[in-house]
Amino acid sequence: MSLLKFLQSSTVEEVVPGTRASSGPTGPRKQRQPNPSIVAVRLWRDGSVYPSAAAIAKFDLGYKDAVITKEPIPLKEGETEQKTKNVYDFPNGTGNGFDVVDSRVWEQFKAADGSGMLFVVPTPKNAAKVDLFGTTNYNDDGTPKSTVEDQGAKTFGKDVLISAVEELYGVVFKVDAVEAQAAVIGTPAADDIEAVKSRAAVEAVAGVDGVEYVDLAIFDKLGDFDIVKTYSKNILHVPKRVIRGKDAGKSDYIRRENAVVYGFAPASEVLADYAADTEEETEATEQVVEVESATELNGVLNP
Amino acid sequence: MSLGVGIHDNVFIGEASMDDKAVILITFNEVSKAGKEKKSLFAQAASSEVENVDEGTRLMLFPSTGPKEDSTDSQEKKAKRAVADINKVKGQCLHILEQFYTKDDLKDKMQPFAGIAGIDDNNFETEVIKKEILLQVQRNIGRTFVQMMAPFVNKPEHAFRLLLIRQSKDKHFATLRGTYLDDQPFIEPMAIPKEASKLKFSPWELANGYDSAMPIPKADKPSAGTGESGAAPISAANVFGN
Repeated sequence: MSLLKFLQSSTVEEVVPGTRASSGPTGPRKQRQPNPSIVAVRLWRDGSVYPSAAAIAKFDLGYKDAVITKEPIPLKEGETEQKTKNVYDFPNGTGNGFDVVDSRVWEQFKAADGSGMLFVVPTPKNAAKVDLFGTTNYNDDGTPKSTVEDQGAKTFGKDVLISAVEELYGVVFKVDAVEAQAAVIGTPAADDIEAVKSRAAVEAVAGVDGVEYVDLAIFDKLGDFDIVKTYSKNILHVPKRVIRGKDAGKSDYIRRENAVVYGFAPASEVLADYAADTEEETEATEQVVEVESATELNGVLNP
Repeated sequence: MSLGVGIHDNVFIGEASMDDKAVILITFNEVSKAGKEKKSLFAQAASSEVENVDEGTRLMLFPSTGPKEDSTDSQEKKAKRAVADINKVKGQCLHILEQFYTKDDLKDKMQPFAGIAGIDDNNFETEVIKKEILLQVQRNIGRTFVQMMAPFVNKPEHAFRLLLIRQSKDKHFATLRGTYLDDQPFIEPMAIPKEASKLKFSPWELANGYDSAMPIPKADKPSAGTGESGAAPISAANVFGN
């Protein structure tokens, strides 16, 4: 583990049980999120990310109600139909999302030996290029269509976070094996013949034995090393990547002001009292697993 | 050697000042040459070694001169041009100050019309084109810029990447870009890796040669004697050929 080496700081208290396999993000709501009392997010192997209740409270991550007004879009030449666009106002503030920073691409903090860690910077949701918990869709009455507890947006997790966590922290996420499948050229429906949908070829993927999720803690200190004090700045240029267009994939950056920087690393490594779930939730999960076992289910239904 | 047209790494602001003609002077120095003790002229000449003294590259931001006396433009057009000139200098100064200050820190600091009484929406177009008004506006911008830059000048630890464009098609000397600075910056901290740099010549600048430091040959330059029709001045070469 290179965290300490990277920060050149003091000891990290060794802990306790590491990550725990669970029934996955489609399970009961509590299981999707980390233990509510720890300031952390849970990164699932499909890329979905869920914040804990403590993280939502500390960083104001929730999606706020909006006041939506319709603004006319200027007509272009030849157009007669007036179109409108929604303008969103947030009287109770926008709340925050996170920028996620990989120190390997952060010039100020790059270590010569290639080691590093992740950081997060809480950023107003209405800022551009917010990596996590930045946007959601809204209903016509201004209420968000999803909550930050339920959303589980996958794009950033799948495209960036999973590989970063695996490379920097040695986590191995489970990957299901996939058999190769040839492409299928679709055919339209005809008399007594159903339509066949086209499908692209699927490459084989070797299965990987790993974890279903990892809890990533958000912390301001590591031992005696004060991350917030050391790295926070009034002007910070956060590394990003261009997502769309002809420059997609290229390195980019965005300016953040009054940026407060926190560490972002597996909770099992940095939290002395880390436990993946509370005792109550653990029992509930075990009950579900037991009930869902075919033999037990039969026993419960047919005593 | 001074910095020419192009993109330069590791420069710092050696000086920020304003002269008595309200010209804002910004000197950029190279970090690699910083810290070398400046010798007297005698010491430089008497030295047995080649002396490379870095005086830095001084760029000048001039005040608007207002419309020409014989201009036939409308009042509105003259006023728009004067405002564009003011916004250009103000924008360049703010763009540099934003390397050190947040937008909140800068809010309301730059007051171009501070202390200029009697200007309002009704008389703005006639007043803003007056030389004395433009000079005072430039002084206000320059004074604020120099004061706010003071803690950061001559500090090689504040190293930047700097893009300089050509002054004009005719003048090959370097200057600072003046417009669309939010999308097309001319300065950024060296902490930003080269591959992520936003300092680039714009498509317009590339198409119009503003990325080139090549001097225009004298024969190609329009001379002072050229009439409004563009006809070449009378000379033996023009009359009899080469």
